Amino acid sequence: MGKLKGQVETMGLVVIVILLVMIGVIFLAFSLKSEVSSDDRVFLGMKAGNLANSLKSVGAGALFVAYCNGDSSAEDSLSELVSSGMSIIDEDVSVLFTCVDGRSLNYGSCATGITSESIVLSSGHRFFVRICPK
Amino acid sequence: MNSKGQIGINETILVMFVFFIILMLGIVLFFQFSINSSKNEIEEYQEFKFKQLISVVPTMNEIKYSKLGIDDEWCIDLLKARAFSSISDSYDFGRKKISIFSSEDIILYDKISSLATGIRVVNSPVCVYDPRSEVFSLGELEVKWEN
Repeated sequence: MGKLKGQVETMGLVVIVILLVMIGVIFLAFSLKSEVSSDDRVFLGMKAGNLANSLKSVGAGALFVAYCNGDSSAEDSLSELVSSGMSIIDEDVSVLFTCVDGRSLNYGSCATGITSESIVLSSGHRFFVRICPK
Repeated sequence: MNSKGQIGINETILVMFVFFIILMLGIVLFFQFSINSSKNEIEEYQEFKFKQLISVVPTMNEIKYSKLGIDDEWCIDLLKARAFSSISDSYDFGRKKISIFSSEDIILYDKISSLATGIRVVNSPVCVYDPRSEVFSLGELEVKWEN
């Protein structure tokens, strides 16, 4: 009788251990799942690249070079151009321009997200676009 | 003794029966899971291909801006785009609609049925070049997918 009771208790313990392992595996599977999938990252990267390249082609690069060279009037035109580009994207966007001497212009409020490749302008000035996933 | 053996055989048969039921159930569930997982992967791939169009379309030679064969600007030529829209029926992007919105709105490709219910949309900024005025401007590329 005592032997049978011991066996039943052992079985109970085994069942509990199996349940704990199953819960652990499920928890691990959920915790490893990234919030933004890699496909979405690639997509947002493409979008950021599109905006960066478009801005360069429509003259934002030239305006920023003028700003870095001391033409303060270029800042307003640049701001307008960047805003119109940012308005096309549904997500939160930032465009960050950096002069060689360290001065910078920052449009938008996206702090951490997927960034485009940095576009290097003449004289080494550069800018890039960052998109925060929704 | 004989009856004890028969009980043992019956017990074995019962255990085997239960075991095979569990095995069958396991196989069915496993294949169900595999099929669902494959379906999900196919769907994800199709969705990625759809989203990828925002990068593919602006770089198509048919509509890409170039000057004297040099494509140093990443832009869509409006006149090329308009010409492409008239022959795009021979292309196969699937059940999609690709449009450009700028100074001139152009539907590059449209194979979405009028009765479509589930439509997904992605958009992206693009540079648009108008050769008539020689002006580069910002436009919007929109891709719709009927799924």
